[in-house]
Amino acid sequence: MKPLPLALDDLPPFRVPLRFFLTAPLFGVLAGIVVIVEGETVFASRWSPALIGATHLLTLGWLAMVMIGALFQVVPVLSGRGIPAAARVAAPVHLALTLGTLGLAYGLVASSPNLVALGLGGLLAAFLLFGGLLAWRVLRPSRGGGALVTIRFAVLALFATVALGAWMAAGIAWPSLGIPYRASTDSHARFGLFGWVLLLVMGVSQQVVPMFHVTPPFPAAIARGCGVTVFGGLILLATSDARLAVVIGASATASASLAWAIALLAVLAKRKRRRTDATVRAWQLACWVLIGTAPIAWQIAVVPDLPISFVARHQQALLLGVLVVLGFCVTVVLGMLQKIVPFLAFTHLQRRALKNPAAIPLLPAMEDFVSTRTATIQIAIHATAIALTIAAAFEPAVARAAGAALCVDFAFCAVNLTRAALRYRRVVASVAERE
Amino acid sequence: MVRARILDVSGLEPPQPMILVLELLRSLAPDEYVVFRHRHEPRPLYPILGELGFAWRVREGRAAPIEVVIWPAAWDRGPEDQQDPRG
Repeated sequence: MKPLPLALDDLPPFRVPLRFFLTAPLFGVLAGIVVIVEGETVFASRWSPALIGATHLLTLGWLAMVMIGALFQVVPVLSGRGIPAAARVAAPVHLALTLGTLGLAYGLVASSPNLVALGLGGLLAAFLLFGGLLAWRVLRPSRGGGALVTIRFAVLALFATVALGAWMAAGIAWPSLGIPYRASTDSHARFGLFGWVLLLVMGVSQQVVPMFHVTPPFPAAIARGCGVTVFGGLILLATSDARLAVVIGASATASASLAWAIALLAVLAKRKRRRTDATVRAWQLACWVLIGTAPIAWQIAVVPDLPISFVARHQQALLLGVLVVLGFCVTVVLGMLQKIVPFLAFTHLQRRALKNPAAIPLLPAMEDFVSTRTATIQIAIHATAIALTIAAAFEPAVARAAGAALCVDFAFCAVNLTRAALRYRRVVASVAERE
Repeated sequence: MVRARILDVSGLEPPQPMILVLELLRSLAPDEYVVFRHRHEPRPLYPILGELGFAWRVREGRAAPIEVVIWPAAWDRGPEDQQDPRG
């Protein structure tokens, strides 16, 4: 299947995605600070409040923040029409997501029902507003191939994640309701990470990898089959405890994840230009993490008491969480930011300069916004942070070192993206002087 | 007599194709047109061509999947309707 050509003329103003991209790394730094402050207790159990708080700083504050910002940009490209009123809704969605994430995460860490309730309100506002507009656009018939079909499943998984998350947060915020919220944890995490994030990444990668890295398109069977297989597996796992359903559901999800990761590595290996930039390295790192994670996720779901398992049972969920959240999801998003921010900055400036040829010499190259060297260092720091956090899942004494690595990882990202944004503003100002 | 300038960007990463074609269009002599070879249709380019005063036609290519033929909109006829020793 050929990827649809990107229709850059429909792009919303740069400020729309940029506000999300610049905020997201700050939440990553906060997650690192929580791990440093709480230390060994973070990795004592999957139910440790600090771990759940730090996880949500990453999943909501980093992942959802960047993904929502990027969707404002990607949806017009994939469906031919943008998110309705993008320029007007971006600010309220961003504010609600920021305050909601802060409230929920701090409420979870400090075990404060009131803050959790406050966070829940903000997050529901953000997701209902953005999710509603997104669904309005992508669930309706329009042009678009396998990528858009996969993104539709991602949107459905987002609704399942938010509904289960809201149910659980309500159980924490109002204990008198007696909601057995822990029972929904696995489904919430599966729909969020293997549904919303993985499916969105599967859909978007079909479009952006061939375009940015000049590769052949994904094989049609992978492009069309992986998304529906993962989603079907998740539905089966969420709706039935029967042994057969668990085996089929876990096998479907794990095998489609593996197939997609292997296909992406193969597609990248066939790219025309052999130059390996930081985004390619991030894709490769994420694929290898997923290839390592899928069998572990399958084993935990199907044969949790496997005697030869090298991971003690209480560490299984911790390891799986670190691998999926930090090793796969955060890596993909971090890698794409290294490419998308300079590309969008350049593209928006180029459009401005078209109307004013005298401004053309003022345009910096893409490389001047985030250099290849800086982006490569970023991915190396991130790989170190992943390794230390995996170590902390086994040996909690390493927790503070892992927290420090996370702080450095996301602070480096924050500084570089902010510098790119400031450079963009300076060039816009100089171009305006010549108009 | 009109002359073709060939630009093949089918192996280049964004934003190089856009940069190169805009540079080429700026340097075009009055009797020249562009054959722009790409691996997919460069849709973002079309509104820009209109703004810059060029006409274009998309055809399947042999050396690359897509060829966009671009010529000054002021010409009476497209280059394919005119004699072209290299076309």
